[in-house]
Amino acid sequence: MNNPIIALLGNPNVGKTSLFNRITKLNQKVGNYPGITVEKREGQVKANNKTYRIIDLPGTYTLFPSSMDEEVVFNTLVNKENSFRPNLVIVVAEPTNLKRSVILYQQARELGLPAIFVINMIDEAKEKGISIDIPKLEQLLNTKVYETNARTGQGIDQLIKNFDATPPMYVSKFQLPPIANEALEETKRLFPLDTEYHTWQYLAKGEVSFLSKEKNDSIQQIRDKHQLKAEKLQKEEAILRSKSLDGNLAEIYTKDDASNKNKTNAIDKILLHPVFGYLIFFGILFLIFQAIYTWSGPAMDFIDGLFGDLAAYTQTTLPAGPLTDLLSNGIIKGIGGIVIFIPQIVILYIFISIMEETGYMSRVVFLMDRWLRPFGLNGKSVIPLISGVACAVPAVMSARNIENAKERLVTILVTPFMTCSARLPIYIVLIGLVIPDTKYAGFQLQGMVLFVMYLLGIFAALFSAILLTKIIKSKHKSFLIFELPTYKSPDWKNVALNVWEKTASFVFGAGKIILAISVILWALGSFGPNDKFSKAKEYVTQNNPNLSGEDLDHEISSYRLEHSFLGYLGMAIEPVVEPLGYDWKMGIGLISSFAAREVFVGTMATVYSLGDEVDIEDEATKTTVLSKMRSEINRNTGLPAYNFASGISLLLFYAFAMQCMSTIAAVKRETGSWKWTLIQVGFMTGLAYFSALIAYQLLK
Amino acid sequence: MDNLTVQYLIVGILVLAAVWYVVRNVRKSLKGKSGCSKGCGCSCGTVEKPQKAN
Repeated sequence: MNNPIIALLGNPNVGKTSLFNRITKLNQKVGNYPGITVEKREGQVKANNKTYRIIDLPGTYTLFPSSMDEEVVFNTLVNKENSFRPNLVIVVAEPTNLKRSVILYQQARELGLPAIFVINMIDEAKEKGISIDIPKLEQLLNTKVYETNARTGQGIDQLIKNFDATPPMYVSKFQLPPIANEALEETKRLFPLDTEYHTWQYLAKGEVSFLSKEKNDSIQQIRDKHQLKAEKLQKEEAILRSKSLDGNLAEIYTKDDASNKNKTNAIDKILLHPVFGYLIFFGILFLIFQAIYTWSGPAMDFIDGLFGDLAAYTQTTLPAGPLTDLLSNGIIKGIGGIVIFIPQIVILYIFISIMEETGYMSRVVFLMDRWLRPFGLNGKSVIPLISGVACAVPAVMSARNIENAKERLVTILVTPFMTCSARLPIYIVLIGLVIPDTKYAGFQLQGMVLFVMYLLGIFAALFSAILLTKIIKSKHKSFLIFELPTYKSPDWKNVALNVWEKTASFVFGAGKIILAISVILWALGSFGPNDKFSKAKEYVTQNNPNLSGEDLDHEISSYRLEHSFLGYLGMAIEPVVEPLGYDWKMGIGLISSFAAREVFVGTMATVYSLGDEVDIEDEATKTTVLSKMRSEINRNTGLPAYNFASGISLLLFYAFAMQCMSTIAAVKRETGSWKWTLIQVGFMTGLAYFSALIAYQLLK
Repeated sequence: MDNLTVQYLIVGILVLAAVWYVVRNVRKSLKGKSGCSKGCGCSCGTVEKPQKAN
């Protein structure tokens, strides 16, 4: 066999992925299992004159799955026709909880799979006063046991050298629960498999996804006949296995009780404290939020400047024409619009990876779970929700940490409601236009309105989560059962690898759709259907003989935009947006905001002949934009275009609408489905439209 | 064919390619060909071509 498959199997938090990284030395790829987007990590290692394929299976406590990740493990090991079924299983354990890993090992061996046992994080054994009698353990398991430390590389070479050492035949001493003996015999007649335990897995699983409906129905009939339930059979097996191991492991595994008062317990007394725990957590969150928002600023400015310069250089170097214009304003700016998110994604994932590597993430889940569960969310949802206040793109991606498929989907769908930083320039402009600059009850009224906008986002997210929880079906129930791993210093290689994977996944995954839409939007704004577009310069010059220089250029840009396809689209949707109190110019702003929300300000500046390079945080520019917009008259109503009613209407629209195509692309990438992405866009746009409509009609 | 016409042709091809890419992605997903997803919440434990055992 030239490319034998070796699977790493183990509980979560045993250092399986670190071991995988060490064995494959980063010669690996991350993809998806076919048909689903559970991450599949596969790598290669050349040794013993062979090339081994190493598969890092998702962490699982038992072969009976309670999540989609665990289903993958079940399908890989139990389905003999599965193309990833391994030739050797390496069961990875860690010293503090040997029993659970031994149970997993027994299950794998009883399926007829050759397996070896690895105790990883062996340095922790000494630290915690744990002593393991390796020869006795090898006798119990009837296989070779290896000790490794994936962080330092200890034991890895020896492990690799012995990939071909076939473990002795395993004879199980475990007796399956006697209540199902007759049912098991009947199932064996239906499925003459090579081991009794293999048949037991079919009987006790419930629905076996790789069997036909008829076969599953036959198994269900057997269970019904003997009044058995799959969950009860699984529980019986787990209890019997655990009891049977107690005696054996007592001779193999000893722990110094004094070591209970160790570092982890001491730190948890603070980090899980009912008051300080939350204070510290929110402090860390604040730091993450500030980091994403502020620390990425210089890098984002640099990228923005770089791509701006590149676009300008392209325009001045290449001959003038549509291709040069597409390159500089469509493609380069489109790519720039993707690359500009890299600093935020990198910063967020550095923090997330450190939290996971150190073990703090589990504490976050524990702290937040009780507050988020009533809304159908998970403790881990707090990271995407809070990160969404900076930017929804990395926030949506960080939902990958949530194992339960339904909770992950709900989190992804509601995160864009959080008020992201791109909405801020729009809020600044609109609040400045329609909210009086006065104090109310001692507080700045404009500041209070801004705060209310942030609260609106949070309420919309939580309310939508409740709604979605009732609509989306889930095959797997979600229980908060997990272990708090010991604290350890982060493995920086893992951190770097994780950051690289997530960044590359965004740039090459979501990036393609963002670039395509950038090109389309460029085309809509750069071409027009008639002479008014192509001869804009002549028309404007003729009608404005007193204008010259920059003012003339800005007026021409505004005229061209008005008579471009985008402009006509704005006028075409005017009947739709008119009930919301908008005119065609605001319509163009809404359409162009689809590229990115902050484009609204630049578009308004162009439409109102100010040139599109506006910095709304510059006081002088802000004053100019505001005074221009204040003087605009809505041609349909004859009233100021930006009045209190239309201003509140616009605020609500931008609060709820799903307008950022980068977020849309990220949602599509993370859900793997346009269906849910479009449902999200539809729902958010619908909510935005109707709330803006109601607000305008009530306030006008 | 002059330089400007060639440029317009290339731009047209690129824009059409972008439109085709977006439409293709949307159609693929709506037809379910991209497969069940990690976040779909449905019963997604199967591989694309379920392998029947016995």
